[in-house]
Amino acid sequence: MPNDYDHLFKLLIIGDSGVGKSSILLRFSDNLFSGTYITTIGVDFKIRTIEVEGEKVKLQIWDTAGQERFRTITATYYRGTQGVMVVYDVSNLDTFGNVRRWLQEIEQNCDDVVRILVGNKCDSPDKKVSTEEGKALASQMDIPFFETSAKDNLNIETVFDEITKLVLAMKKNKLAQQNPAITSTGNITVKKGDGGKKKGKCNCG
Amino acid sequence: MVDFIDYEQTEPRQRATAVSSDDVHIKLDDWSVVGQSTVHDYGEDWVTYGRETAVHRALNQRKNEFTNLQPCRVLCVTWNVNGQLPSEDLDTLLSVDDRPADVICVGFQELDLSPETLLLMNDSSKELMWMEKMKAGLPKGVSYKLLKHIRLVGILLVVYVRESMISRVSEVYIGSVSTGIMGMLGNKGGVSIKFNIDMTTISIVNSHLAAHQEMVERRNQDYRDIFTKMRFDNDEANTLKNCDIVVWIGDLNYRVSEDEITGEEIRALAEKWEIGPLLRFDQLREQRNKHLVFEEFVEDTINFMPTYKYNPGTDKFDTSEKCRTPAWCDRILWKSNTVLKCEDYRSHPIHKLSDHKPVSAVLLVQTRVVDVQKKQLVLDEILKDLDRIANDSLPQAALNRTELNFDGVKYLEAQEQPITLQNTGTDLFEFEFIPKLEDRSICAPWLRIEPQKGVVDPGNVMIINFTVYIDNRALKTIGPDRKLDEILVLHLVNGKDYFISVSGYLVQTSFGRKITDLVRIPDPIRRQNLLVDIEQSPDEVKVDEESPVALNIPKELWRIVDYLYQHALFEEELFAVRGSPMDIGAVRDAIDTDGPIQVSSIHSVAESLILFLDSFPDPVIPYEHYPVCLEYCTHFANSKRALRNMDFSHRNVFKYICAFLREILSHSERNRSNAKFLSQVFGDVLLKPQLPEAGNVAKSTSKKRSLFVYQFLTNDYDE
Repeated sequence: MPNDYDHLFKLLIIGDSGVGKSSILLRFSDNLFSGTYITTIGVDFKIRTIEVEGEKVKLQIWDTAGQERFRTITATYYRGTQGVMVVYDVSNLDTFGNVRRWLQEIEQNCDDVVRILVGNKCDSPDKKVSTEEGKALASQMDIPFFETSAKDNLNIETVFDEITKLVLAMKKNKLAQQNPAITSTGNITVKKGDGGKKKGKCNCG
Repeated sequence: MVDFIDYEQTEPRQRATAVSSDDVHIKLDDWSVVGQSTVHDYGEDWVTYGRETAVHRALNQRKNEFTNLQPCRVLCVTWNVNGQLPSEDLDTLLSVDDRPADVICVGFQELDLSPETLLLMNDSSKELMWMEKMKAGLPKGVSYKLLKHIRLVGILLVVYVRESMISRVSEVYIGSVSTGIMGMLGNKGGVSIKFNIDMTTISIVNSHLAAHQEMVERRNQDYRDIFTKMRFDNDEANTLKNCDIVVWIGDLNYRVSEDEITGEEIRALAEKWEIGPLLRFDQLREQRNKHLVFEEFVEDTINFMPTYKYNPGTDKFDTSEKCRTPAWCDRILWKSNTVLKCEDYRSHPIHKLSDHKPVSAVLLVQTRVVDVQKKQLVLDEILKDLDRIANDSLPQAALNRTELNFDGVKYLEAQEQPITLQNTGTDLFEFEFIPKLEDRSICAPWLRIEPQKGVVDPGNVMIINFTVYIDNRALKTIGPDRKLDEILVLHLVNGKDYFISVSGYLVQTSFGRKITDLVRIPDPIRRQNLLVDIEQSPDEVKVDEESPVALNIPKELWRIVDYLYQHALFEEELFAVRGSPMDIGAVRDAIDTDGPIQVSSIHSVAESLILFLDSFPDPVIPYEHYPVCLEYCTHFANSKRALRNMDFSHRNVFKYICAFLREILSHSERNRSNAKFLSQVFGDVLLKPQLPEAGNVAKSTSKKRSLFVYQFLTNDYDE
């Protein structure tokens, strides 16, 4: 029997408590949104298989508790992660302020990982963090940026699509570096000095 | 499964339309495909066959949603040419229809009867000649391409496809099965060409089954052998079974049965064109009615004359010596899981070169054409559905709470709280508490979890008990703020993790405190009102080494010993009988709050003394003096010197205990105490090794410990 998938990637969603990490995951995995807020006490995961560039990618997406008191424990779950989504709430300035801390967490716990910045709840009429501010931080950190709404299903598919593409590119890049023969075939291009890092880019609604 | 319409009882236009019962719903009268179940249940498939198969089957189930049907005209011709050269033009066979076919399949039998061909399977010059003739006979004005041809001795099958639709044809395979003697010789058997038009898989089988009137069962077996043994490109998985359409043509050799009617009568009926009465005795129809052969296949109504056996060059039935009875040896049948309509089924008596007449059928097939975009949408949906099923089958649980508060935990008093873990999913799950980060144990020493792992059936509830119990070992791990704080990771195997927060507060107690601290605290260590202690003054009673020493010995020690002095001097078996846990708790509360000691048994107070002495983080004989004391355990003068080097408070406590024990011993006539027993009990409490000792070492050091104490119980001692 052929493989169910060509790639299996582990993704992690992190960010302050209440920014909508679980909602983003539920929207992506089950296309559902629940208005009632339930704090995640622990870590949960869902799977979804998507096709990116003609390849079947099975995603195992981990949703972590955002509460401060769990931070040391959730660090365990960074292991083996290929992509991390740092989420803040555009209607809550504090959650945006903490983005740097979350990025540091990644720095401390992951080696090769794709990072992506997500400003959730962009449907909110009470926006406190402007799109420009989000963009600016993202380009400063040299990572892609998206604004999403799990509630209105805005950009959710896109953001997962993007992070998956980047992880796939990183994987191929790494393979090419390990095996220069692949590079010479020309189907995977490696920029010199790129080091696998992605250029910051904005793609927000 | 394919259902069959009884063509005797239906209108001609509905005739021979095969309907697949499980996925395609066809209105017979207008050919439109209708009805698609909207409930897609692939779960079972997935569990049974794996995801890839589930996707495949789901796609197949929903193919109506992303495919369009496109008609395709297939002309099938079968002819036993009796080894003759192609002396006749074939346009009267291949180009007789107004609308030229899209696919033309021609099967010959007995193309070449030469012994060389039979034995050596070599090239046949006749094959080339017939191929040339066929090419010339193809419908004019339409360009055809030879798709494939295959020959097994005299059995040749050729498939032509209209050039304009060649791009819709794919996956072309060939296969053959020999049913001749030993299954080796190819004079009988079948060949097949399999190909896809769009998404529809079609196999054409040309077979020559066993001859002779009486060989019905042999013919049936030949059919079964060919059907089951046919493999395309030697691929075991590539069989006739997974085709959408199988068209079976050939000299099947079934005769008109002579059981109820004589050969002469048959011949007479045939010559009078009495087809209907004759067909009643057709062996193939008989066998099919008994479901012995060509199950699931359909044949259109025969309204042509028997095709065998003629005098070559004529339309006259066999007049030779053998005088073969006329029969419909040459047939065309099909099975299909998609719409298939037979437009014409006829023989071609104009061709006279053989003793058989050719037979042909025009089949109108509906092939499935994929709408790529629609297919991708359906595929996305299927993948999503499968993922949802996968997610639903992950362990699902509900905890009644994830936070436990243990307020007012007391030293050596267990407090228990339960959490219920319910399995809200559909499958059983395993759970276990796992260590976090680099931890080796799953929780702090002051916490016990029962059970730490287990299995919960769907709908069932597991009660997990959390017990906080603070003994000396656990006490060492608790900070000066006496706060209990722990996060546990409850892991569902193959699923999520829950974090369970346990918090609490250890009630202030003199137990477990340093002797050197206790002598600096003149007041009760805790106010009597427990609630006040917790809520309003949770801070440690602060002492440091700079604080003045207020007491010679801890007041708590004095209170216990004083109580024993007053109530237990004449008590037998003191320190040998255990007290009650409740009493012991009461003693602790009493000395911590300076309240009255009220117990039901004096032994509870005696045990409290042992427990109190045992709780000091640095024993009465401090760790650093322990080795020296053991060394001098039989040398009283040196022992006394060792004692003098110790901290003042520790020395005082030791002296005080020994004095009390000597007091007890002085009443040994009444309380039957003896110095050996007491020094044994107190030796292990007053002296303790800093690191645990191995069994045999512990035995000898224990003896030395009691010897050390013994000296002070049997000698008067004062500085």
